[in-house]
Amino acid sequence: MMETIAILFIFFILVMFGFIFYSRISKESYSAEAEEITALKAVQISEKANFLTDVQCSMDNIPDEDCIDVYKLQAFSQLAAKEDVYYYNIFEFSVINITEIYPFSGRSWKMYDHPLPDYTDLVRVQLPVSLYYPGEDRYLYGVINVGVYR
Amino acid sequence: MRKAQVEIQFNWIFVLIAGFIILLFFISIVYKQKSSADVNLAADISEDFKAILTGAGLSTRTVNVIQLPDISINFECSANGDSWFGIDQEKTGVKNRLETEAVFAPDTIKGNEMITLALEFDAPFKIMNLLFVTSPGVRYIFVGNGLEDAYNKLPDEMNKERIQLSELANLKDLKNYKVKLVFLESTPALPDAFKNMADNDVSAIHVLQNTVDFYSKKGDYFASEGTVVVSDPILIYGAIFSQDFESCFCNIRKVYKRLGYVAEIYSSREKALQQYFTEHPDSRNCKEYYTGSVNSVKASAEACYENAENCVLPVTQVKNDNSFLKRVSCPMLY
Repeated sequence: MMETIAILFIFFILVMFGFIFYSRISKESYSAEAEEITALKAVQISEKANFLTDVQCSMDNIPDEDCIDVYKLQAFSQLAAKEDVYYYNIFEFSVINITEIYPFSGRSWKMYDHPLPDYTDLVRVQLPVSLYYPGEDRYLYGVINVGVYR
Repeated sequence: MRKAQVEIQFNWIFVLIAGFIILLFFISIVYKQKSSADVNLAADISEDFKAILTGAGLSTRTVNVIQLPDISINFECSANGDSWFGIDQEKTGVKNRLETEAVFAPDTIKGNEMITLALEFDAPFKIMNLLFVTSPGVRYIFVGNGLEDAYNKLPDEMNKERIQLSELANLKDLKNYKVKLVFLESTPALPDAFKNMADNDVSAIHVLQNTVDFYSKKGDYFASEGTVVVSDPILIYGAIFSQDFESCFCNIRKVYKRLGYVAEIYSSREKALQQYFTEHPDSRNCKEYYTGSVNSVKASAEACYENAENCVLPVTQVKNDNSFLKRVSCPMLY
């Protein structure tokens, strides 16, 4: 009887070790998956920003890819700050900045910013883009900087 | 001797009880792991599906046929604004919100294929892409003449057919899990073939000139649900693909909300252009031509969002102004 109880006791200790080992492995695998999801999200958000109707260039309603209309961008920045809840559903916890890089003027626009409280990391993606000034009918080079908070 | 015999029996009882407890323990672990694995799988598929929806929504006028594993995808857009899609939602509880995307779909997609169609909604500038989702397991029956263009533009992969009103009584139940009847010339009547189907699986719409009336099955007849004003022909597709009036109306309101924001941006752009040409006048005299017509679209969009049943969008003036600006070589409104 005592031998049986001793055997059972050792058996359950071994099972417990097995579970601890399994849960550690699972935790590592979930962390890796979470990183992968964040990276995928960063790419998705950058694509959404690049193709967003609200700021994309168009000529007679024909969209111009990889191009952002600066007048629309300026209006969008104000609208996104005002309608933060709505645009959170598109861009979630991220920050999107557009910077004019050539000819360099130092001009930059914060298109969207909704920080995650107590975030620990910012996964970044950069995409080149044309910046169009409709009044002057002029194109300049710019970069979309997307950062997803984690 | 007797004591030894009793001890042996107690030992066996103890072994049986201990064995049963151990077996129960491992069986419970297996069940918990299985349900956890189902939820993980549903969450993975849900993330991948969201990426598919994003991609399908970016490329307009395209049809995508997506192969599915043996799962069901649920769509919901209700009158209180609650909008989501879920993977095997009843079993796993996994759902993703669709706050801004307009996805017109039946409440359940079953089978191993899913068909998506993305079309652009313009007013008159591009507002957003509307996504229409269905499955070959859903049967679409167009009754009567009309809407030839819209019918021909529906994906070939869809299970669609066109019949005359006189053939309605001869319809057979082909064991589709859902049937949608689109009446073009007459008020919907429920064919005998579908009377035994579940109420939720059979629905009808009556397409009129500028409106679509929705009908739901109530036993052995169709009952009117509501009417949607079609401010743009694209919205007829929404009525065809949607599960019912509530989900169609809910998605249309999302479109009008988005329209309001995009119109606000274009209105600000128009003001910025006028200001630019006021500060930098030239021989074209462009500043005279920015009259604020986009602002009327913005005002109408807000009215349409509040009262989508009575929606009129003044897009003609904006189109005319845009064409004029193009002729005089001034920057266009859109």
